[in-house]
Amino acid sequence: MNITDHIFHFLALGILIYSVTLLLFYMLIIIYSISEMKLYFRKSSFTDYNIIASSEFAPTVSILAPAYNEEKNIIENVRSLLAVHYNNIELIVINDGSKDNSLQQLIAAYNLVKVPFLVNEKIKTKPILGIYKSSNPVYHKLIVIDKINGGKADALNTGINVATNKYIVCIDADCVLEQDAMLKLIKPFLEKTNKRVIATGGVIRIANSCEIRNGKLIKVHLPRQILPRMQVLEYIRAFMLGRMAWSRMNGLLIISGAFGAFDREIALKAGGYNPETVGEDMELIVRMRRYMHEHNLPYKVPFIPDPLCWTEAPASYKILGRQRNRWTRGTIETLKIHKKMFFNYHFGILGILSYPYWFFFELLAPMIEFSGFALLVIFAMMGFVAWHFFLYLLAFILFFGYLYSVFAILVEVLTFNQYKKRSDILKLILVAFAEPIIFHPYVVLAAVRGNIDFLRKRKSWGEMTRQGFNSK
Amino acid sequence: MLTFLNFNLSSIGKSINYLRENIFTEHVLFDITIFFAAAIIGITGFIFVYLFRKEKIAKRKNILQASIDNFIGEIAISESENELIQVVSNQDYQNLLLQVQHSKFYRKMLINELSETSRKFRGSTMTNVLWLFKKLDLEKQLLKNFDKKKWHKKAKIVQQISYLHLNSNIEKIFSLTNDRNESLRMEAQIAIVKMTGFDGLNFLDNVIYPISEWQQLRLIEELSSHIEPKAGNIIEWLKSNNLTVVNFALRLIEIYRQYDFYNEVAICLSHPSISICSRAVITISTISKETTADLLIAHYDTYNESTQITILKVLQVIGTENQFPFLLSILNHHDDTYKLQAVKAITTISKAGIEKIEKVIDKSLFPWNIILSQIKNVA
Amino acid sequence: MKILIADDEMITRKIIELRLKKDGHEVIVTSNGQEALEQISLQDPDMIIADIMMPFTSGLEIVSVVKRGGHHRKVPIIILSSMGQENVVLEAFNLGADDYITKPFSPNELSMRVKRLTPAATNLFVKINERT
Repeated sequence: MNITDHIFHFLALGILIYSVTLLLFYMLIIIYSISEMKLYFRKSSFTDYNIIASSEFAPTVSILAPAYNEEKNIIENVRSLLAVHYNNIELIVINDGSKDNSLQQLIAAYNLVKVPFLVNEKIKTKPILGIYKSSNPVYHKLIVIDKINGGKADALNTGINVATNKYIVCIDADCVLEQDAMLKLIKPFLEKTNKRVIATGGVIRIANSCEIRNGKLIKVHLPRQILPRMQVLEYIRAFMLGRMAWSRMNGLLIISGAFGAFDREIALKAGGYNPETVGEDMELIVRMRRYMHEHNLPYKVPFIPDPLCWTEAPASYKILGRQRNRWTRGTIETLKIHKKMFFNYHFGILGILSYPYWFFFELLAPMIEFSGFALLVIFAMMGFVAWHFFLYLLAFILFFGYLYSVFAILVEVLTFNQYKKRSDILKLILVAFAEPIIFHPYVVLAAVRGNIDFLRKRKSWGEMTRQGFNSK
Repeated sequence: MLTFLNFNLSSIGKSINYLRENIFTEHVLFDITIFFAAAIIGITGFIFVYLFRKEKIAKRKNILQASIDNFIGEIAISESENELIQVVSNQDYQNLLLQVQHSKFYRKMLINELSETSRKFRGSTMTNVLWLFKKLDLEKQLLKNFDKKKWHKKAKIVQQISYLHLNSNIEKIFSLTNDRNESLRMEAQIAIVKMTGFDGLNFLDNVIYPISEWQQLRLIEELSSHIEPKAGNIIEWLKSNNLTVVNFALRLIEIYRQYDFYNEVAICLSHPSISICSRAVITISTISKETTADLLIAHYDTYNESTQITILKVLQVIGTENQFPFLLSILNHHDDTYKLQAVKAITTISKAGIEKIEKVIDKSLFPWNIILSQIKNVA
Repeated sequence: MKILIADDEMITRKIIELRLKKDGHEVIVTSNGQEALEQISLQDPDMIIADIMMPFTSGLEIVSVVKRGGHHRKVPIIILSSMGQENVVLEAFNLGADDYITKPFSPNELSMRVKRLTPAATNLFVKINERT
């Protein structure tokens, strides 16, 4: 045998092991997710969440909403956050050095006045210019911080410093919450007795084309544009199957930055958000978990399968590309910062399963997919592999992907069934078939670019120009 | 070295070739792909059949619910037994009741609606609904196969028993308050308190499982509709090995201001569990005596940060000028949160406090300039 | 009198509806806050009975929207909620609610409270107050 043969065999073996492990993981995820869902639904069938909405003994919560140039929607968003079903809250809006009139609008709309306020700077942040409260008692739950721009992580850290309550809920200012979102997000903190719940996260859904009035979701529609529609499917797969299963194994590594709750004390002890990374939401969870492991404290990070929060997904290839590029860099940075955990049994499931899974199947997947595909094509062209074998392999992988997608849609239909029209479900299935051709290659490419950008040490966030909800 | 590598590679090569030729062949790949395709078609078919059926059932259910609700509505607003009998003997409703007798689905729905109505209404409406429940002899139906059912179904039935005040089942429910299944146990505890008020708390005597925060909140909510508080075995609960029971007992003392248990609460201030100490600090502040403030200060050094802060906050309410030396000493603490809380306590206790503070610190320096203006702003 | 009910529980809506119809009122039934607000501006009810915990828009928000101004600001609102905590009740009154009933409740009691709040009765009440 000559050396190219060896290389080929070696690669083939690698790809084989990789794909088989991946398939096994996916099956494990399906099984775990189903059993976790079943338990959740059985429990909710007789649970009344409203008790903590009004109980004076309910835990106190600070909602942190960072805002950067959001003047278009800020008044509406604050109003809908103030109306959320939960009594023991304070709402902290952090104006992160906006260049527009966000602050002036808030001051005018809510009769804000500047108040002296001692901020115990437990986490170092950019300077605060002023803290405002409303002179109208109806808005006594509102606090507005005006600060020098320092990015999202820095803004959230300022919020954590100012917050006085036991739990913090971080939310993107442009998110639309379900009425009972807070109740469902906070409940898990109260349920565990032998473990400390350090953070919870909920399902994010895509709001494009949905009917939104006064900052509230009135009617759910499948997005009309193709890209957001693809992302609906992607989110269903990621949340209904992926995160649910990881939550069951207590190996969840990420809580979406758009809507998540944290135990303030642990977040502080772990050091707050890291402004040095573009993936601050993932990094904080990993660091909090690491803190708990290193101090031998039993803990849990539960995940709530109910749709709690609706957000606008990028509708153009350009913005989607930037978003995925940033996600990839965030993942690489987080995994790099915590590389100590890689296959480290001291960190339990986290070290043995979660970290390696993220490393091999989230971070490396696009690279392996990209290079594997390229190599196979080259081999086929050079005659090492028969073309028909190549096609068979391709079909095999493709159909497994389809099966996984269709299965995710099935789970969605059996559980929340957000898209009521049958034609919408049909459209979703068709989208699943189109995905590998029009959507997937682009996402893989953006991830590969993210890797390259990471190596070049680029640190920009990528402006996320928003369309704004049509408030019709 | 090279030969070794070569040997290894070639053996891997062989094994891959073996895999390629015997397991990972085109045939196998093709077969699995076909299987995947079949599964996809199968699932897609199932999805649509399911959606069709669901819509049909939902339609049927809506019609049924509308007629059941009409029926219960008329029962609910009846003003005499004669009127009730008249409603029941109405021909439309007779037909409905006939179906209830024959269909499990109808029966379940009627029981659901009746129990929900009984839960949400008081007065004659509730009495009327209970009258109907008895008249239709639904209790037997509700409890059928109770012991054989799965935990989530059992839990639901336990709830309905309590909504419908079926008090003959109290013993059965009481035995479930210590059940192995968490959800069932929780519902049984709530149900027993709903039906028997403070007496229901006796389950705390021997509950071996922890009572979560969530469950404690629910129990407190449930108790709030029962007017006469009873202490029960609260002294025993304070000594329980189950920490959550101790915590709950402290909360009850706090909410119902049970001054009689001052000494027992004071003992909890030196409990081995810090979370119990923390709770006890708050509890004792709500039933405080003149000596309480000094008692808390005596424990201050043994506590962790959050409990210390709690003491400083509590002193705002129960402190007097006697505690000024202690509070002034806190002003030197390196953590600004301590400083702020100490200043708050001093200024709330007495207006003259601020002068004492200004004697000790330089009010033009950070953080004192901010702390003092913040305090003045609030006042 | 035209009374609007907003409650997301069907059986509760039904019983209130039947009870108020018995008193001779005209009843508009809505199942969530959003629908309620729409119907208020369309149908100009003389009184509003609203739950707090409802989809889309809570009863408290209805109170604040209606009482904020406009020609419905004098329409009496009764809040009907399972939340009996002092702070919630106070907030409701603060926003301008005219009465507050805690669930579980009695429909007969509701009927009496509706009677007491009817504009005629309120006017009488004002006159007596003015005289004293």
